[in-house]
Amino acid sequence: MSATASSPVRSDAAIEVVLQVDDLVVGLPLGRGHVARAVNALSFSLGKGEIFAIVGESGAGKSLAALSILRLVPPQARLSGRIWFHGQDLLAISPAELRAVRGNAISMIYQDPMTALNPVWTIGEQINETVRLHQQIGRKAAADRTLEVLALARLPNPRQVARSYPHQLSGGMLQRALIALALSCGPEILIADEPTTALDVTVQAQILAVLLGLRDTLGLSIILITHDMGVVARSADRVLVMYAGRAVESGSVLDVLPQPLHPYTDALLRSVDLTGPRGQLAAIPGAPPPLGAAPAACAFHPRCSYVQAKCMQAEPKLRAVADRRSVRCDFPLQQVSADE
Amino acid sequence: MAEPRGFLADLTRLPRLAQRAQARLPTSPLTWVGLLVLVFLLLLTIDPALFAIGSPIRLDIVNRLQPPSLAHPFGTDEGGRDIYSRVVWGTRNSLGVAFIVVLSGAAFGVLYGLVSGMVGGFVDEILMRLVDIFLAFPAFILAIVIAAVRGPGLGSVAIGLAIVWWPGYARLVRGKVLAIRNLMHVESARALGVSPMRLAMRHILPFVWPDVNVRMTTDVGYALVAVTALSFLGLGAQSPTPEWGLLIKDSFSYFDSAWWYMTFPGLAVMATTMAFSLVGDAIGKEPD
Repeated sequence: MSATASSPVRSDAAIEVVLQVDDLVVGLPLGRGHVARAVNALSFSLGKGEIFAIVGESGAGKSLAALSILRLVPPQARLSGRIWFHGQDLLAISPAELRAVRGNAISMIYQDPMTALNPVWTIGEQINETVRLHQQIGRKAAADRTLEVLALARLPNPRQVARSYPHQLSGGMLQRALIALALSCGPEILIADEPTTALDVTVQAQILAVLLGLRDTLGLSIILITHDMGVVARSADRVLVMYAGRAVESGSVLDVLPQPLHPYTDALLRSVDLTGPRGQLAAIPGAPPPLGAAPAACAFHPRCSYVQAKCMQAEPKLRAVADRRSVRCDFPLQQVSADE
Repeated sequence: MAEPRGFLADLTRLPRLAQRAQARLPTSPLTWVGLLVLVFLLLLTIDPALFAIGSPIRLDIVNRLQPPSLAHPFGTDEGGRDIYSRVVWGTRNSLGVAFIVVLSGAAFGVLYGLVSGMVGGFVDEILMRLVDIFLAFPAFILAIVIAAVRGPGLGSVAIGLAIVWWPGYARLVRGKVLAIRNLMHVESARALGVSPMRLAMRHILPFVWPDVNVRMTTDVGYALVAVTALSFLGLGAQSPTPEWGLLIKDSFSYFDSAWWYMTFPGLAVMATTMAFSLVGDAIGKEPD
């Protein structure tokens, strides 16, 4: 480990990279020695102050990929690859070292705010616990910090919220309390796993606004896991599209969304309505391949409307097509779709 | 601005707590009966002299085997001792040992189950098979053996019963821990860097507690029956110690001539067991 401890982070001229994931594989044992690669050879980097979205349908491996960063995957899952953060490989450090990173330098926001908080402690007690866990500060300072982060997450009347139990708050307020909890130790990276999925549409917009605000004021880097292209369009800087455990396309949101190169990205964009009530929404026929299916072909070929003979013979490689843009398709959609 | 802190803050919460407590008072008259009996028993255990009218061990051979009268409300035994006083003083011995059995059994069982559920895997497997061995063996027989090996006495009874009492708690707690461990708030606490020890104490144990509580309350009644049964068999308290099981045992020689001798200690065991059972049921029905 120490031989490779110098971080191979490529220093971009414009953006400082804070987290780099190299060749991440999450293997789930299926029994009888078979291992399904729920996440397969995934690499990406996160720039400072960047909102990086990972998109895909259920089972695409996006949540597992995000959970792997803090090794929060189920105990039977096997992780390999490297995740570089400040010169240390998060997949190789000891559990105690990892706990010092969790909630402190990298923290997590979960999908369902109703269940992610402990119902028997007040919001304030839970934030206090986290602050005092990671920082050597007194009760008073921790209590002040609690009120500070609650205000930072734009909760009205932080004092009252701190004294409340989770069941006394609404879903939107809970999600903000959860964000406050995640912010309590001043993390560099926030991993938000479907942060808006369990919320009303109006509240979704508020939560996204809070996240965007945090990026701007604190320089926070955010990994946003979502299946909602609308959320990506509104908030993310860069996007990585996953299908069957693999990255199929990645690039700047401004490039990918108007002009997707991979047929799957294109189909995904057609199945949601980003612009208002016009045109026909198109469902993607078929279902993703089952976990553990051997990829001797392009994983998307059974559902692809542009499928060619070559697609069924070998899995295409992920290749860079432009600056910070790559696609895993031998026949990328070069042309802008007619109806865009 | 001046927020009350610490002790003061707790004081300001008192009225609210009282209000909440009022809202949760039992409604069933049976539960009330159970509660009253429990309070009475608690007082008896703390200071039997409050209620006893005489010495539980002083002999008065002239007045042996007297039926209930004003001087001896429960009558007298073969040595002329006041049975009422013996029952009153016996509370501490019988119920006290039952409490000790349940408390120590639950304490060890909860710890055991918590470790088993938290560590999981191979360790869990071994720990639970050990519990299975205990549960597979008839508990009462095992307690009799342990008490008999150590020699008769209330201490032997307490140790023997505590040794067979914990596996039930271990299994209960382990099952709850396995379920609670996967709840989102535990996962999210892990994501915040909370250590396994703290996870267990702050984020898992509070959710196991209600079930353990209910079980402990009803278990005191069962433990009492077990304690008196062992004494009845001659393994527990020895004469002239006042103890309910022993009283019933001694009364056996006179059961056709002195009905009061066995009736009153028997009623004491029955009333106590029922009271704990009633209150335990009421707590169990209470929404968490």
